[in-house]
Amino acid sequence: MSEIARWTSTRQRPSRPFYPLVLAALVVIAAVVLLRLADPLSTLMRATGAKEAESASFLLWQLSLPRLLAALLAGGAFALAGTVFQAATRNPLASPDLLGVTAGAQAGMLVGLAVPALRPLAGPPLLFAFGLGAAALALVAAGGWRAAPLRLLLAGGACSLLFSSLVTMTLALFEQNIAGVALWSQGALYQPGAQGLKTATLWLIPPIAVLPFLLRPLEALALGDDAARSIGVAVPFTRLLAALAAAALTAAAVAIAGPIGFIGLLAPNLVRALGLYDLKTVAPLAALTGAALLLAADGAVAGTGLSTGLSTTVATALVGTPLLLALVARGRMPAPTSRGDVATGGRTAPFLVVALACALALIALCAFGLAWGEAWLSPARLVDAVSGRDPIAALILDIRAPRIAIAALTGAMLAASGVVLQSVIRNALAGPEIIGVTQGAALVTLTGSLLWPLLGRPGAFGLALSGGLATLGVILAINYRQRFEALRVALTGLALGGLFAALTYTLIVETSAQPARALIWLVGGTYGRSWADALALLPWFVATLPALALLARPLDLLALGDDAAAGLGLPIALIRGLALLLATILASTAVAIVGPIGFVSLLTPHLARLLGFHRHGARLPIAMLLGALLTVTADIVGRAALAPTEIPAGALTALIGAPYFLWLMIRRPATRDDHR
Amino acid sequence: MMPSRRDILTLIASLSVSPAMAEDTLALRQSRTLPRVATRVVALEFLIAETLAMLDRPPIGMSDPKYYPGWIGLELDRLAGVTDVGTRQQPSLEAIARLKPDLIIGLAYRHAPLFDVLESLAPTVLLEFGVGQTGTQLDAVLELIGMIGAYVGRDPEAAKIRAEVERSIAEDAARLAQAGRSGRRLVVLQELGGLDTYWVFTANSMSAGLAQRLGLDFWPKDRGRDGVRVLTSQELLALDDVDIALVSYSGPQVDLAAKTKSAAWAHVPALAQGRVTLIERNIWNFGGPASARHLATRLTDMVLAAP
Amino acid sequence: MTVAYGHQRVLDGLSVAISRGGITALCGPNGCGKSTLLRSLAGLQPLAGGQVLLEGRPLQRLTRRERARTLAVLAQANETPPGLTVTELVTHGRHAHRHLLGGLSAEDRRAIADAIEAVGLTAEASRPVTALSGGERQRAWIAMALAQQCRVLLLDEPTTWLDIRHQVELVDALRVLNHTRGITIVCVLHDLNQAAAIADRIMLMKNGKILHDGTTGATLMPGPLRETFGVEMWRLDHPASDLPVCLPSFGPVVGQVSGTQA
Repeated sequence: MSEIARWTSTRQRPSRPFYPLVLAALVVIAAVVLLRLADPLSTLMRATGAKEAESASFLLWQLSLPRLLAALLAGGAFALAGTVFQAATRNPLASPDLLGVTAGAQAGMLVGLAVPALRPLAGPPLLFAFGLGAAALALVAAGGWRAAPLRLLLAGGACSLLFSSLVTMTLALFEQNIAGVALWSQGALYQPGAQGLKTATLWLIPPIAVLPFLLRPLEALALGDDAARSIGVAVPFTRLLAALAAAALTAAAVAIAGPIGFIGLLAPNLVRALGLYDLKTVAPLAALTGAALLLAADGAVAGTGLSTGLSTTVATALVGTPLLLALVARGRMPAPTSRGDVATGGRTAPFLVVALACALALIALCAFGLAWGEAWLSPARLVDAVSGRDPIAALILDIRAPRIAIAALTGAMLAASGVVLQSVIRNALAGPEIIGVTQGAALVTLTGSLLWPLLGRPGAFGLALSGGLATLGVILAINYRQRFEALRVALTGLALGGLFAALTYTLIVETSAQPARALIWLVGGTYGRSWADALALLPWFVATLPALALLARPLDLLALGDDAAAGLGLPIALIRGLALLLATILASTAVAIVGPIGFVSLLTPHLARLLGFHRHGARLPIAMLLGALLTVTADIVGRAALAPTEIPAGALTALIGAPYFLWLMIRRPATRDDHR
Repeated sequence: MMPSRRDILTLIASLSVSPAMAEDTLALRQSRTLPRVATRVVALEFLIAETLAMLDRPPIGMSDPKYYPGWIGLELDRLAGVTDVGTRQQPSLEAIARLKPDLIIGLAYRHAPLFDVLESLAPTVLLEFGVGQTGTQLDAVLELIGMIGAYVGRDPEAAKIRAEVERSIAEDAARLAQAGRSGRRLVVLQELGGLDTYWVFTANSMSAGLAQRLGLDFWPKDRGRDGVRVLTSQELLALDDVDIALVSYSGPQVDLAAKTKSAAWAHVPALAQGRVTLIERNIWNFGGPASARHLATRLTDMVLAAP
Repeated sequence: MTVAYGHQRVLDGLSVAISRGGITALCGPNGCGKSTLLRSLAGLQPLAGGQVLLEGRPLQRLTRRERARTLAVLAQANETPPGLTVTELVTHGRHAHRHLLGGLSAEDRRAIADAIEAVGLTAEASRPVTALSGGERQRAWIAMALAQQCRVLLLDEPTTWLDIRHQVELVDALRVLNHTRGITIVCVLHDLNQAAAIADRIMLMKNGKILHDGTTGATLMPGPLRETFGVEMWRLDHPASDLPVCLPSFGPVVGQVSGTQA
């Protein structure tokens, strides 16, 4: 708390000059505007004849200028939304995309397109409703406004994954109809005419009009709820109004520009990194910075001749990630307390009972998965299949069994990777998909498979491993000086993961006209995997098991803190290094086979803890069993629910897991301990 | 200078095609032993099902049959009652297995990672639909007739169908020449559902191949991946003295006026000249020989009807 | 020994000897280097120069496990993982005595039970550490250190977060351990009176140097205290125990807040 208070406090206000920042932002804006307008302007001046001049002036006034304005407005709105969310939650990482608001708004867009009855509401109203819904869900799950930063981030991350998996699944299932949405989902600043921009801009007016009345109460909140209340601030009302305003800003920005991430997170933090904390200064400066950032990113897209309206998100990630990483590396990112866990377990059920129950459930589920599908394979037919009397059943069994085996293996591996990473980085958010290892492995594997289409499995493992390890190396190098502080590591990973995912998406979109291929690859799955894949994965799994067993107790000691662990005789640097290596191997080899399946490694360690298992000797096996259960369920449901149409398992893990996870978080509120 | 995106893609493309795979073969991968005459074929792509139907050897199973009528809609009689084997991207292996096929035909760019699994179910051929540095997708489609014909033991019929399709296209070309409309510039756009967001078919597409045979001048001249690329609004505004075929994304209830309501379209010269024609929802550009024949006729009618 | 953070030398050419079997208190103003000294003695702090000898042997030469069997250290703020029970925490203290795999030996179990009993937490043994009061929590951590069967115990401000009663309890517990087990104790303390109550030797530190080192009676005098803290102090005698009691001489109210600049 004290750290955060210092960081947002109005009392500690070094009066640093903000002119350099304003000047830099204005120079960027002016330069991009000039560069972008030079072409249409010169066309207009050279135009001969009325018809040509009319067309040229249309190009200038209806296409070029609206796009510039859209970038400025959307960038500013995302930045303001981030500023308000951060002040209201007293959390420097709260931003529209991390709280799930952006993904919620995107789902709203999709619903508006897919449900004819909601057509009239399509656009900002529906985006607003969905965005607000996502934020509310995240806040309720986190346990209210005063939730610890990590808890809130985790709930927001779960919401974000839930909504984006909904979007992904719809896109994958209705591939023909929604190519346009797929393009839009990458952020499209293309503005056909000024009319659409005008409508969306109207939605910006109410939240911006409210802001001046919000800023002072929000500043008081920085002192803590009690202090704010004692000086007469209506705390719940202020927060409600702030959430409404920020959600409206996000909805309007998404309506203008599509779900562009990073800016809401980055712009306010950039301003604060310059030593400016006064909200009345931060808000306008963040808006200006956000506007300049998005304009520059969009200018880069237009300037390099990348596909129109396709890659703004990628460019934003490209521009934003290095800035963010530089801030993290220089230690300028605020580091609020990283204490606090999702929840603590209540009663502890005996380990053996739970482990046995999970194992039995897994066996039963696998058996059910062998039998259930497009065709029901009765036990008698299964026996016939194995004995070779029923060749068709044998073929079907040969399709189902390796998938289930791979789902179970990868689920367990991803879960183990999540447990180890969360412990060793001491960060509840440190799943391999959160710290970017999964995306890094996926990007390198994909690039390799595009370069060498007939790449074998050993090659894929090699590429995935090198991608995962390289990502880990970058994260560690950047955070070395900050002693791997948990929130900084999470932030670095989020930035890198976002960048890699965007690059992967671009790579697929640019090499193929079929969006479904991109989506199916991006979410990962067990479809089409064979015994050869399972056998290739098995040695990695078996080889890592003894290492996990050996690491269980050192990881317990590490949880006591570095000094305590070192005092007990633990070689902490060695253990850290080994554990990180192990976690990366587990995640990368799983990714090489099933692609970047998300959520398992983030969710299952917490599920194991919510069930009351915190010692690694118990938490690791329980989490691995739960991971296998979740992934096998996703595999079976994805294969059989809409057969013969296949739902990617990677989309289902979040769809099945996230609601359960959020429900558990709601049911088990944080203990007092978590708020420290 | 920064390498442009196209340079990079060309580099990736050039690296990805190993010299061992010559461009004249249309099969990227195929099982070592194929049936002499396949009778139970599973088609994992519309154009393969369409070709098989034309050869009067309809597949026993195909991908996305429920979308086929809406997007191709040709040779429907012969494809009635074909078993659904899931989506084109992720066909249901179980559904395929239960059909006990003797041949599975797919496309390399979609199904290459599945080759081993498909082959474990039945002999498999994956066709490479990428068309080298000069050809068009029309050339590939015409070649495919003979190739698929050989798989199902219909070589003479295949030759006949190919000749018939080429004759039909030649007739269309003659109609254009007779009306003095040869050499007109043609642009084919596919709607994507977004505002002013279109694919434009490029010089390697089926439309480009048809334009060549019809004696029309095709724009643009560049070659996109899969025969398409995204059209910029600036390019849209510059579409003067062209006949534009706008392939619809929605059903017949939405007309051209509704499609071109945006501010940008008001400034497209071709629209003012009445030379933009809405063509009902289809993906004939990605279809087979019947699609090619049908598309040629539609484009010819359009150019003839234009002012 | 010398310890530096970057270019800033925190401890510069310091030489201390801790007497075996005694209780030594390190006192001094904030930032004087007392915690750094403690961490250096524990081998947690890389030295820029010099060495630490533990029972005559250089600390660096000892393996981690040997060190952990001889010397235990308790940091100022301890992270208590949620759900961890007292017994589990104390079991961690046996790390240096156990094999990497395998269960607890009879000796391990005896040491654990013994340690828990020594700090009076037998009744709370199976409760989560986070559910205990501040004083009990601190005692649980000390039990973990005891389970190491160490001969030297280093503590960094063990009483800071405790209320008076728990402070007294803890001080008593430490003295009992020192007497009955002969454990050498070094602790950093803010409260001079506590230092007087517990220690038989006090080191006064300032700016990385030891200004005064001696018995409580010799060091807790107005002169050395003024030199160390820059504040006028009264030295009284405790009416019951005759131990020294230090009291700041608060000045009269003169109408404005005086700076606390030393």
